[in-house]
Amino acid sequence: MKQFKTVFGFEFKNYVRNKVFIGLTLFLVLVMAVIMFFPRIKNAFAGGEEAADEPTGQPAVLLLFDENGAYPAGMLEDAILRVNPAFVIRTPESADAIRKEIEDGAADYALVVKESDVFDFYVKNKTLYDSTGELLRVAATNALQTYLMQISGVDAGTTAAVLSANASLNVVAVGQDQTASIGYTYVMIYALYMVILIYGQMVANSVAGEKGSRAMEVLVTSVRPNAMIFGKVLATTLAGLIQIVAVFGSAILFYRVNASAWGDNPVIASFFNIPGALFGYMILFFLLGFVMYAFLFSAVGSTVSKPEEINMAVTPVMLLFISGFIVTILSISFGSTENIAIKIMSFLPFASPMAMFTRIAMGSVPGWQIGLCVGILVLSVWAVGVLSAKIYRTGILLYGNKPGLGSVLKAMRRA
Amino acid sequence: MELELKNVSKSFGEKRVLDNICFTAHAGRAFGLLGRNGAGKTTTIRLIMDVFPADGGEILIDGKPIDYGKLGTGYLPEERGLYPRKRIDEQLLYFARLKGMNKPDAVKSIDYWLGRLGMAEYKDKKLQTLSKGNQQKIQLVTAVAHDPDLIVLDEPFSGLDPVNAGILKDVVNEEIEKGKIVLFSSHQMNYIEEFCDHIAILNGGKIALEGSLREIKRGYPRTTLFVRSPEIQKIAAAYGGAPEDDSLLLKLSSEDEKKSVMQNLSGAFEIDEMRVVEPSLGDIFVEYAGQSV
Repeated sequence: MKQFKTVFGFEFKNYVRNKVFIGLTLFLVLVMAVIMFFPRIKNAFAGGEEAADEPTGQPAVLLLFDENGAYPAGMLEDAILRVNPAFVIRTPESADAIRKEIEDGAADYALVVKESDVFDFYVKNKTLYDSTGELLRVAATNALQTYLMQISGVDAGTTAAVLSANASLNVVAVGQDQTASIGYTYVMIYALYMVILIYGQMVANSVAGEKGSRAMEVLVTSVRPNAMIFGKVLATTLAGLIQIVAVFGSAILFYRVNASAWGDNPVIASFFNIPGALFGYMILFFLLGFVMYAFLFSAVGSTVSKPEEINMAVTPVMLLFISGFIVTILSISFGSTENIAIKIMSFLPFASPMAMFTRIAMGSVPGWQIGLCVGILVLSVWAVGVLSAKIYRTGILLYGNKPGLGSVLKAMRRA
Repeated sequence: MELELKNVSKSFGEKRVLDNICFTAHAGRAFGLLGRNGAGKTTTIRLIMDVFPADGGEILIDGKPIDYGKLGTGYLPEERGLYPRKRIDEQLLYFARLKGMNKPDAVKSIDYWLGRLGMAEYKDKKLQTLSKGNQQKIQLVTAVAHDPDLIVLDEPFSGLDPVNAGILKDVVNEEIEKGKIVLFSSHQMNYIEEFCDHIAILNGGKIALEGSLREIKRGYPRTTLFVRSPEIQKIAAAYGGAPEDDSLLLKLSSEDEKKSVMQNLSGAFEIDEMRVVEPSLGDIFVEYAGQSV
């Protein structure tokens, strides 16, 4: 235990004093700050002209042009103002002027009636969240329906009543609402992916570095391999956790500071509105996944002679990890978190931290399955830890050609 | 205290590297492990240090299997190397603490040793900024700072200049006087001859010769005479041999002949110095390790 503490302290200090570690953490915190302060930054730079593009800024100017006079005067204007009273509607001289006015910024949008049910919608740049086109489609449909009813002899009162009739739909998601959980699920999966790859590489390099510099021989005669590998892996885990907390903690802090500026942006809200229980699962799976891979990477690091050989050696571990990652990400993308592949993956310890978290976050998983998964995972982490310590004990003194799986196993039996 | 290897064997794959090795090293005396490259010296040392286990035989301290958790061991491996990019005092502290020292004692001991080896000024430097010889002195601190009972030094003199070799010699002597078991391997016969009361010569994984250096030398026929005399040319004319300056080596065929020659010489010539020449360790080494058995 004393040796474990000494190794743990030494390795942990190595991380927190490492310039790359400090630099990366500060950089990520800065990135979070830029993202979270983005609405304010953008507003600060936005002049009066650009502000017209904003949904919350100046009223938008809409050019309306009925090429063949398909609609009675005023009908389209009424329909458009019904969906957004803030539009300033102008009628241009000719169809040719429209493109130029939009380009020059004299007008924001234009709606051109080609036929009674065919419209052209002009906009300078179609931005991702601009819903004006959809709004105008609704208005045009309303106008078309009004017009059709009018020419079939329905009176204006009935028409208005029919068109304003609306059914309401209340969504009752008994399990999970995927639209709400997809944001933080993605964040968790990508964060785990990044952190495992970065720290896995670091811990493998640390072991290989000790072999490369030949410090290993003094180490093995001074410290038990279990204390060595557990100290290393858990110090790495703590360093990783601190970095994660620093980055995501600052993100949450900066988001709180800027909550009003973000308004009710659904995208950003989906990252932060994570239920407490899920957050608990996130931490649990994150830690278990991280520790297991850190063990594997350090074991692999002990089988090479110098750090340069790491990249080839870690490939099998990477493939294992990436296959779980791909299945999980594809399942999230297709919104299908109960397909057979992800179900299997959610019990395989190498993929289950990602797969099971995704299933819990985006679907309904029976309690026994979660329990089974966590049980398998905890046992696997322990087993991988002990096995890695053995590989480590064996691998650290193998120099020369990179040993194959066979020679490592043989050496382990002898050790 | 004594360290005893009993019938220790080790193979790597098909190759039998050590075959029934036996020797005993005593506290307060230095033990020299000799052998040509590949004879099995480093493997023997690694087995003693429990870097890997032996295939057969026993390694005992005072007749009992070694408890590495309890026995203080200090080790200077043949493959030198610590953390190149770390501060010297920090890594020395790390190793001392791994060896079970508490922090204040470790700091004190490290300061003492850095001072003793003339390295105090480099304390806060990174290891890689030091020359190879100085790095080796730092590594020596990891082997002795925690005051171990058993000190194993694998080729400790290689790479050291004569001044540093002198410092290391003093350090080794001090440790021997403190009653430690000091075991080391070297190619440099003069150092072994200087320190070691006891030697073992390894050849092809077997012990070719083991025992007290003095007794080994005594076991050799003592039939060579060293003679120094102002009349050396006359002696050479009478007894043969090629004089160098005023001295001469006379190789005689038997103890009896040696005795009578000594008497005759002292009676007939003016003699400044006359003694029986023992074989050097180098001669013995070449004889026992010169060819693979």
